[in-house]
Amino acid sequence: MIVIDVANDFSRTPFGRYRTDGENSAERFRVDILEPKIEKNNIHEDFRIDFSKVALGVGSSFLEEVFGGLVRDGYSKKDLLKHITVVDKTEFYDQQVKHFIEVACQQNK
Amino acid sequence: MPAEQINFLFTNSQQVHIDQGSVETPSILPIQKVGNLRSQINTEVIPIEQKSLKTPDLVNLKVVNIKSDLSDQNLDVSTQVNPVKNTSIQHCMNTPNQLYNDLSVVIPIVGLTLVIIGWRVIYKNAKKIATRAETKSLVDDIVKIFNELESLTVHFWLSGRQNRRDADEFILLISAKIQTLTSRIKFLKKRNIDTSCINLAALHEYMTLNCEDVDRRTNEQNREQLQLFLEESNRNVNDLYSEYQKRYSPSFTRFKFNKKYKE
Repeated sequence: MIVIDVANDFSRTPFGRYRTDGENSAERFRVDILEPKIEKNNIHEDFRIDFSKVALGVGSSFLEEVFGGLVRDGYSKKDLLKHITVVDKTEFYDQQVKHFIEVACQQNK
Repeated sequence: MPAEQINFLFTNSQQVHIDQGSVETPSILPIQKVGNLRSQINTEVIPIEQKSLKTPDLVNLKVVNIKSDLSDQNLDVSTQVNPVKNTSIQHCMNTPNQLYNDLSVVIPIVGLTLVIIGWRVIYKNAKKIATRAETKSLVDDIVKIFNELESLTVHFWLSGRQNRRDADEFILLISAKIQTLTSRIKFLKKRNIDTSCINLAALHEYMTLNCEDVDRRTNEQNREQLQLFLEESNRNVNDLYSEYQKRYSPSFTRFKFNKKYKE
């Protein structure tokens, strides 16, 4: 299991969708942190993205850009749903991320 | 007239049915034997009252000078009553006092048991009512948070650029409220209310998706997103109240005697 602690490995206050929204944007997290780790370790490994130490929470745009963006970047929906788990204090991010992956997959077709 | 053997249970007083004549102290001898005990006990049986009987009547006897170690035991006691002339003793019977003595032990025990059962029923009922009130209070707290989220979201999505707060501030406030809401929902779940009707993922999405682009979107797009949120929020609240009603059904009186109430 490969754990990515968003607060320690990226930022305690992630915000925004694109790099133009700020320095701790979803696009920067996906492109500079998440995708390199997936490439290095192979998507068939299990990944746990941990948001529990992030200050309060993140917006839906951040989650959609990170995980919907993975689908748009060519990762398979099946691999993402099977191998990626999202953990947070409120316990609904995982459900939201799965929904975004499904929607992005349908939009890609 | 020959003395007649009378057997009765050793209590403080007994009654002997005398047909006629009188029973006087000299005619009653001390107890000669006591139940299974072989030794003589220092007791005396005397009439409580002196009576001259013209018709069959009951005469109360009592046992006095009882040895202390035997005074609280039920013993079969025999004595003799020597009636005076023209007196015949019909029979000896267990007196109402005997029944009273038995009941005087049983009645307090039964009474105490009924009191304990009664208190237990009252306690359980009070506990049920208090639990219901606490659960309702939690439900009301959750609905209050929903109202606060609605207020924040409506203000954000419908305000003009000048009055609108920043998207990062909005997300901060929403996230704080959602964390409070999550903890209330957990408490409610422990009280056997089904909280699966609350869809936090959908609420969060409708509140915050593309909020960074709110100024770049059209008013129509913003209204549409707000409408989806309000619809989801109302559905969640209604479903929550339904679940509460399922768990704690309201009780109504079956019969309405008050005509005014009927009208």
